[in-house]
Amino acid sequence: MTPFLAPLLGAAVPMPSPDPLGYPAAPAVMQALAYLTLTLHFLAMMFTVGGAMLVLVAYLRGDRPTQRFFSAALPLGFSYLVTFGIPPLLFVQVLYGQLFYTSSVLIGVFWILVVPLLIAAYGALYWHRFAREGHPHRWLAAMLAFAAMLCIAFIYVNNLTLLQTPDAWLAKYAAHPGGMTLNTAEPTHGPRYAFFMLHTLVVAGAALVLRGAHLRRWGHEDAGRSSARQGAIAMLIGLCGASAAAGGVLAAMPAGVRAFVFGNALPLGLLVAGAGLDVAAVGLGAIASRRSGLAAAYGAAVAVTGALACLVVLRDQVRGAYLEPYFSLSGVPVYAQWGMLAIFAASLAVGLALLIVLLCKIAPALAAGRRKTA
Amino acid sequence: MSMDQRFVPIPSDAEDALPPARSTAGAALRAALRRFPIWPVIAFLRGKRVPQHRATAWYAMGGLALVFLAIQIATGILLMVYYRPSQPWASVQRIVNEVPYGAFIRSVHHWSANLMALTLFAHMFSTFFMKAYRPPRELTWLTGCALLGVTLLFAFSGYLLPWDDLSFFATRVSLTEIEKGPGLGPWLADLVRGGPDVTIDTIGRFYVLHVTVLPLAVLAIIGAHLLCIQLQGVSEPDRFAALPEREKKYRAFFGDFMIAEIPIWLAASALVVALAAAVPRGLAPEADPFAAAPAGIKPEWYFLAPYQMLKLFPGHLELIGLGLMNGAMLGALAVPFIDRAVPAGARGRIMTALGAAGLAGFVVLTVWGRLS
Amino acid sequence: MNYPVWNVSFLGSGLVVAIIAIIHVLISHIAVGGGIFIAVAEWWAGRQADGDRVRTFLHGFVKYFLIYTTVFGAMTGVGIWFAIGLANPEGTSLLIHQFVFAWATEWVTFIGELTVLYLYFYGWGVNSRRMQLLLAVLYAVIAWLSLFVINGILSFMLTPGGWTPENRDIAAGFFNPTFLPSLLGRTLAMLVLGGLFAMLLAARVEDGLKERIVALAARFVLPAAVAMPALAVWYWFALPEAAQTMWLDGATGVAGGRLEAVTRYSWLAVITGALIVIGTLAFAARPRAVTRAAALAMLLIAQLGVLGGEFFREMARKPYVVHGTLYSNGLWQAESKSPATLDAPYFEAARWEPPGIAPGSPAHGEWIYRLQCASCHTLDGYRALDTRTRAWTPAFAERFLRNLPQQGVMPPFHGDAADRAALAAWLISRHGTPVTAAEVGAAAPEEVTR
Repeated sequence: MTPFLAPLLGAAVPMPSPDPLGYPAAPAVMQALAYLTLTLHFLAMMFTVGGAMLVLVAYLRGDRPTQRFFSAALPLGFSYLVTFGIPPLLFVQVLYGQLFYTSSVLIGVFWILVVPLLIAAYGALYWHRFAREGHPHRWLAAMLAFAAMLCIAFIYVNNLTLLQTPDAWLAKYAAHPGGMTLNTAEPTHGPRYAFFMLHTLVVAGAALVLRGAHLRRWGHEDAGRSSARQGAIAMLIGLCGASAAAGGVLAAMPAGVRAFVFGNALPLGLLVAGAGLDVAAVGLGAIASRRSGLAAAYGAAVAVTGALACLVVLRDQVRGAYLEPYFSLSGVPVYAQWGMLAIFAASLAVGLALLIVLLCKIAPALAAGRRKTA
Repeated sequence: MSMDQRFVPIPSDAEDALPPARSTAGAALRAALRRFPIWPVIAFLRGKRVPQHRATAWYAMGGLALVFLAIQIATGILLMVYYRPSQPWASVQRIVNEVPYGAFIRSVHHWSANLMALTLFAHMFSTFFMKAYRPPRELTWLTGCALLGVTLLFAFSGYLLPWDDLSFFATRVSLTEIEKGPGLGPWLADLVRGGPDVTIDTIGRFYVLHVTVLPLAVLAIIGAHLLCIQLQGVSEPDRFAALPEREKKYRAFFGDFMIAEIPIWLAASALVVALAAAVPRGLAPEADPFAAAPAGIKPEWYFLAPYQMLKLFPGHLELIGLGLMNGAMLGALAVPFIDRAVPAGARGRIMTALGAAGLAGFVVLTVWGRLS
Repeated sequence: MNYPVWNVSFLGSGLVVAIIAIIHVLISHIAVGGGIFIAVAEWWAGRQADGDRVRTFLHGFVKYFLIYTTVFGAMTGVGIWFAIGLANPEGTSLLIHQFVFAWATEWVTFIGELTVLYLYFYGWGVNSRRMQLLLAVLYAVIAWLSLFVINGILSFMLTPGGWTPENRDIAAGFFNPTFLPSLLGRTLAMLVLGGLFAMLLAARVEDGLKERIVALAARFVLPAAVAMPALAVWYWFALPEAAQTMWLDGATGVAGGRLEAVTRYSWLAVITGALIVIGTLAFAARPRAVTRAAALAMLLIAQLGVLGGEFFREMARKPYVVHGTLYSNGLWQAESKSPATLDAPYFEAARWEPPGIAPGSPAHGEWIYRLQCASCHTLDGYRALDTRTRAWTPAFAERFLRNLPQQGVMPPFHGDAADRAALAAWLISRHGTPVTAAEVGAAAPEEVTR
């Protein structure tokens, strides 16, 4: 029975044992799946949160077309941000379960608060979507959704920073066994939160740039140019803010972790590539806002997605560096479930194929409808 | 005498309304109508209709109270099978601990009683604010008040029957209040208790009251109450009555309204069962008349308002409290004789304001009583 | 013990899970049953003279269906996951690690459901009728598959079947003894709920069409509701013997600490099922009479039935989170079999007590409560210990804690005599008369020799 209770460390930092039944596949498999889906999650999340921010700006400016675009798109964005959020949350529980459950329990009240906040944000976005255009309280619904999403992101940053700082755990639990506490004292917490929220503007801006390019292609020259310009400005503001916040994160890190980032090829490469792709995305956005044509706009979207992918992998690398004294994925017991993995892979392939076929058949007709009414 | 002369002829409007004679239902209904000349009654009931307006939902309250009463009768009969007035606590303990589903039936009885009282308060206040008490419906109002009173007596007498700590001391405290009443007070208290204190004789009295006197009374008064409603029809609030005729919407009482009520009755029953499942009624230790009353003894929620009011007037001022309480009860009975005008005039508005104040006072006193 | 325990005062963490779960169960069943209703109604519309009127109704139906099932259904589904991770990390970790690819497959069905439903909703008036019918059928099938997957994991918790922590036989755990009755029973419940939801939206439709839609919906509800008892009986016979005993004992009250809650909740489920049949028969007899309030009342009955059924299932598993393997408070059954582990001082195994607790101090007792009892019991709210320990004497407490499993619904006490004394002293002292751990310890041997 010893493996059930074998503590990983001495008494100073309480560290729960990993799941005694072992890992269902090599960590690399689940890491890969988590990276892929987390990139998509960040994309949808940043589109939705940034879109909510831009729709509020559009209310201030009385910009009806932008309101209309986001009002239709945000509930969809929210659906997919939640749905793409599921696999990363699943795999983090497989890979770092004993850390994740602990940090969640420690901030339990706030962690469960995510659920009503999700419902409030999603409900407000749908209400916003289906309320009539001139409704005097429409902007309030957008505001509510935006505020709820800001809170959710805030709670997430608390949980995921607490996950990688086990030395803070015992004192927190002794003081708040009901989970009525957060992790805001963690030095990277503030800049990390700021980075994610400011970067939403880059993604939502890229969406506006893409929309603008399509509008121009469909012959709505003025509307398209205005949309793309707004998008490019949002991207630039987002990039400037996010860069400053990223600097803040690097500055606030423990020296050892910072040394890991700058001293190793992989994290440094990811940092440079991510930053470069982000800058490239903003540049392409600026080009797309001046010239017609889809290439630059799609280039901006691809570049920003690439930047997010770099961010996702870098983030996991940094987490590994934080956890280095406590826990490492190398050498965890693996009892591979190849059959189950095959079933999942097959269902994913069938599901994706089905959706792609359906989208190819239906999307053009739906887009044609948009084209007319845009 | 030929067969046909012995039977009642079926009226022609009945022929039009009944299902075809070939169908089973049609044949059965015709057979019944040939034997009993009740078509005029049916025709009258068929014409009954319910006005449709924003407050229509409140029309459900009376029916709901009847549902709870039916549950009370059914579960009450089952509890009577095992309840022994000579060994009150032990027999209830046996119901709770040994009789299959005894605890469950008892919990249903408890919750249904509470919901019945709650529904009746809602029924009374909703008919009050819709001003359904005005002539010609005085008798409906009076019988309704009587039903509320009988229900509260049911609750009061039933509460003592388990003979546990809580019920014993709560009853003793309440009866002491009655004793303080001027004039007939002490005599009345002794009559109810069967002596100077609450004893096993009180159980006998309360039991007889609870399972024979009050059930007979409640059935008789409900009969009168329902007869009034059926004969006089459903009252229309002023705002609805003032609408032009073509804008008034009605639903047939028996065809549509009652069918749509059925799910609401069923939901109420389901709610009772759910409450009994989630929050079963407990049984405190057996009453010990010589022990000190446990701390924080309070009457059930429906008696909290008068209880709290009496507490507000300590010592010699208690008579004021009693007077206010009795005044409120008599005032409620007098309502249809004071506010008579249709549509409502100045008196009507004053009455509404008084009712609102009464409701607010009831709620505030109840919450206050609960928290204090 | 391994994990910190989330101490939720008054409600208890279990009730937090339950509150989110019963909302989710109702809506998720509506999401599948309503999907089947949409598919059937699409097909039915094609055979009606006024098919376009029916499709317009369906479009309005799907709008509410989409918002309701995604905003409240999907989010509470995520919510259950959040809540079980907080309330029972050890058990959640087991379910995640053993079934990670089943969860991942479940996620594929989510993506499929969501996308197909959007294509159906936004494709109204754009797609061909055949495409709309195809999408509706696809949605129903994918939604049902999501039930298929989650049902395997959910029924595993109560009846792990041939799975053991040693053999890790996922297939045996997934296709466990209650898998089929549960899958079929839930499918019937979905048809009932889908039909009731359709009636709710039909209540607002103009006369003429309303009657026909209500009649169609009644054909969903009645056969499924009538067939349900057979599945319930099958399910009952597939339950672990311990659960059956608990249920039978529950027919008579609380004497001897028997847990009749499981029996009471099962009756709630049975009675609400019967009430749904009666109400639907009334609707079927007179579809014109259906109002929104009446249809909502039917859904309220269904919600209460869901409450009964789910509480029954959860309580039938007591005291385990995975039957026979892992206790609800995070203690592994295998560990509890080893006296060397079970009777060792508790804080040797626990990791979350603050440093420097004096043995026998009130803090000693309190932290045992927090780490070992609080996952099920609150002090003064749900399953309150204050009420349950009101009559405790030191001697009784010591004997009770030593024989916890005799209750049939509790795991064994983890810790030594000093731990038991500290916990008992702390619990008894809460009633106003302070008792020290030493006094409890002194009371213990007397009781044993008697």
